[in-house]
Amino acid sequence: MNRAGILVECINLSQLGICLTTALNEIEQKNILDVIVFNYRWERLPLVARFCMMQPFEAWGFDAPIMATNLKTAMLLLKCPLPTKKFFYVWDLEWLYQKSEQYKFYQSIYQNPDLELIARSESHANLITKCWKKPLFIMENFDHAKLTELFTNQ
Amino acid sequence: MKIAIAMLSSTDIQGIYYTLTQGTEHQCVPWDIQHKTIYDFLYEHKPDILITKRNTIQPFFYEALQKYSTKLVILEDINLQPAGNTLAFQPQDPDPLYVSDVLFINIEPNLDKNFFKCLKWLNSSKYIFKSVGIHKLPLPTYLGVPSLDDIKKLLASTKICIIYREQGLYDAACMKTFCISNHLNKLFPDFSNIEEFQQHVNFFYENDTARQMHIDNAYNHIMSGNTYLDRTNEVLQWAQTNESDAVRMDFLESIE
Repeated sequence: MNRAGILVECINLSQLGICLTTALNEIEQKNILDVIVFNYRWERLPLVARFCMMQPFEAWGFDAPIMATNLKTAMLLLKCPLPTKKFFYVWDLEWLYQKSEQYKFYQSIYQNPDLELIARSESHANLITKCWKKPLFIMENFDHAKLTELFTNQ
Repeated sequence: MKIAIAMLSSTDIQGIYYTLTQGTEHQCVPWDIQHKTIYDFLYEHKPDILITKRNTIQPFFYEALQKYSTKLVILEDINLQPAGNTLAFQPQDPDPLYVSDVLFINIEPNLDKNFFKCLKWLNSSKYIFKSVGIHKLPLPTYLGVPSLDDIKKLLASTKICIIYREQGLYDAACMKTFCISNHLNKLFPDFSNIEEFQQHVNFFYENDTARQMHIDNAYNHIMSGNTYLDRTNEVLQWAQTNESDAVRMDFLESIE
């Protein structure tokens, strides 16, 4: 069975938490893809999770495609030597509300050649293309069909 | 000659510092006012001249300068014209990672309302617009604080740069980058309202020849006596016969 990982800050009662849990539960039922979520913080889950969860440090030796979901997890992912493919699902346009981050820092992530960007919507994709680089495709709210296709084709 | 220089955050001091360290045979020492007192600094380096700006001066500087026979040059006393920092900014090839149609580098804490309207229009236009700078802008295209290296690459890779301050025009002109500005200036086209701004952006984006003509004119203007090498020579010549007496006056006032 194909394997994949998703790095998140935490799964909680947020839009990200609910969408991700729903999508991964759907994927789990099909039994063609085994997805592990690497999360920094443990909080109360919004739904029953039918997938594995591990500490983010485990991503370091995970030899399958991994997807980061924010700048912090993208930074960690870039340092991991084993993932076969690295994706960054730009869930939030984080450069808009950081206090005074360096241009170089954003560039090292959003324009990193090792990281393929995935946008959340058409408008996000346009902005990301203008500011940084063209995203691979658009995936709305962890769409389980697109997620399965992405990870099984690697 | 040993020259000390303070207040390196100011653009004209930076230009003179670059010239003194790279373009002349004088020995130049930077002075970090926040971390070293004037007595310690003068005792350690014993410079012949101290170049600085008026807002750094304290009344007690006079005693210290007299004790170590250091001549003071306050830049505001010389009335220097703007110049191009040709040692820091030189023409370079565009970098694909930094490409944009229109660029804005923000160094102002408070932008003019009408100017900001122009930026907002750019933000929703068809152009690839990027804005960076030390002061955050409420625009989705604001991409953070750039280093000097980033600024150079961004300038080299854009078609049109929007400039708010006159000095920025000179730096961009050194890099052969086309600019438009809200300042009336000798180098590039200026605008006074959003309609004029839109006209300029639309026209110059399409018209490479017109852009190139302005770039060449601006570059030639800088190279004909408007570089910081020329300004530094002006400062040193002025220092041979004059001295800023503002410190002495402040000192005397403080005694009275």
